[in-house]
Amino acid sequence: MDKKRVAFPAYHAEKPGEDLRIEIPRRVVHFHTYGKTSEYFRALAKGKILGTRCNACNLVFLPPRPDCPECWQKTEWVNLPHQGKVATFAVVDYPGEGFIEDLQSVDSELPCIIVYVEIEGVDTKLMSRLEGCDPKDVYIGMEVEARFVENPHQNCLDLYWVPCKK
Amino acid sequence: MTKEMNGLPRNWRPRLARPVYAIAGGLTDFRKKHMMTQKELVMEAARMAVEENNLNIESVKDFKRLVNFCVYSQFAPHFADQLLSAALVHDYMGFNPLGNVEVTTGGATGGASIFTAVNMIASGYADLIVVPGWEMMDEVSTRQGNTYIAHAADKDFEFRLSRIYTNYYALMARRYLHEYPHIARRTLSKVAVKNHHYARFSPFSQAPGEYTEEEVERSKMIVDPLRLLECCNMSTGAAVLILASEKMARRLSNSPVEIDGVGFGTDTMRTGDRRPRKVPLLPHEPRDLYKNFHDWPGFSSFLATRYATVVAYRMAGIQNPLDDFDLAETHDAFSISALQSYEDLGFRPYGQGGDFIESGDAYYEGRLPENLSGGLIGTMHAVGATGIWQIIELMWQIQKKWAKFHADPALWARYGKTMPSDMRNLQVPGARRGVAVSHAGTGSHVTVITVRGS
Repeated sequence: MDKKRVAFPAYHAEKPGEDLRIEIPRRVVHFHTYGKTSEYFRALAKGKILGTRCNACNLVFLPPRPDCPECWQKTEWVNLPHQGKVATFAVVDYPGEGFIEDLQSVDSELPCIIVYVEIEGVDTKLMSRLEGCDPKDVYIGMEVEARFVENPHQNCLDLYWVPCKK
Repeated sequence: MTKEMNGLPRNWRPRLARPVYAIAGGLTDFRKKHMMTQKELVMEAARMAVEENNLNIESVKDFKRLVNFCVYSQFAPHFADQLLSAALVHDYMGFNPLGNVEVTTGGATGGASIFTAVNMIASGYADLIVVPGWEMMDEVSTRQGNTYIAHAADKDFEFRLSRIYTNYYALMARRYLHEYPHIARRTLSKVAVKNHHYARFSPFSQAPGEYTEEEVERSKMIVDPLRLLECCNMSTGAAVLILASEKMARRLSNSPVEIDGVGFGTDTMRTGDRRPRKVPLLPHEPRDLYKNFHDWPGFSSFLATRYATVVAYRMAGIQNPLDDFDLAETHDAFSISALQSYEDLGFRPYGQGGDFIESGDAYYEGRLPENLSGGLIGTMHAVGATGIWQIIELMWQIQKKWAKFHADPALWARYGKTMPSDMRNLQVPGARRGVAVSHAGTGSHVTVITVRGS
């Protein structure tokens, strides 16, 4: 662990007369399955964005839902466009533990622009990263296009967006 | 599809089969780091509830003999690093073999625990229920704490995009200010200034302070546009509420406060999944008020809160919240969520929540004083305790006990604090009815609870 980022020295140095406080180290690996959503993450590695469509309800979901929440019938996979618009954005200066490492894994760093992307024909919006843009220049309605990391880790960081070239 | 009227299925008239009362409450003080176990925290709050609320009992044992059940409220076992904490706490307080259940619905855990206990008493199962809530957020660093909390975001699609809830609210704040450009950034700052200010008059508070709007806007950026002074505390502490049937309440208390409305609502976990809907209307809202709203709730409003509000107001017979309530406690996890809640609760129409602050209505001596407790920004967000603490604060106000629990120098001294020399009296004269919002995630679970003095 990066010692400099341990915010509270109090956790390590006990004050005289205080009750005991001990350290319990923890490192656990979960083997997590994406279930039927696996297809989405496999597609990212091939440079595709897959959503799901419920034909009965005429809804397109991204993030994909393998089952339609309205009619409970199975949805089908559909290829989605790689262009969208910024529905809203935030600029992360102070993330939770582990996010800096997350960003390093995709060759990125703080500050990180997080966006919700609106894609035509899709009924939901997708949270993702915006790269190649100064935080001062991003705006709601900005046109963006999808990019995919070179070395995918099969998680949601594999996809990111950049401003469309005018 | 079921035909809907005002957002509720037709013919559904939620009600409590018999009345339920809040009779006593107790708190610890709240701070980032307590050198206490969760059992000790709950015991401290329970002692205050049973011993310092003027209950008509001979002793703690006398009280315990009457208790039928406990509902425990804890958000995340990650923090205490302990599963089945309820067993430890229940045992520590000597409640075996009474039944208990541990409720968890994220940030709404406190409200959901009260919701559960209220319904158990209303059903006739129990006459006296103890509802302890707590969170031990001091075993890990603040950064790790934020990551634990962010586990309450979708693991596959959103958790790893920042690992901090401030981001999920910053996204909403940005969109809200974009959609309603007449609402100034400064109004958000005023929410923070107000709640830090009121926290100065609470011995329980973690982040009291006298700030200017400029100071809020210059404080450390967490996730743009939200800054440190407009984010809730990460707190450790406990709150214990005691609920009773009418007969038991009259026996134990001279000033029972009725829980006369309990509404519960939900929405998608991911904010981006919220598709446009019609706004469920409150009784005081004209039918065509939102005819030009085509993207509600979007990123700006909470369907869960509005739905819970419709249910709770219908149960309690609320016609207009501004006229009917004397007090409100909203879930100001961030400055923006307070504004969003004002609209969901009908204090102002959608898009005009800022006016609830700007008009002065939200302040002491205003039309509907809000978060006189100091809120989550000023006083605490020990998640499992939060929704319970809100109801305790409302109850004490209605019982005219605000001064007893806030303006007693001995109580401040108990927590190693000194009462401020410019102490304000925040007792609302004649306070009779109040409303509280307990809120999870980005609005995935919300309870709206209304209370009324007898």
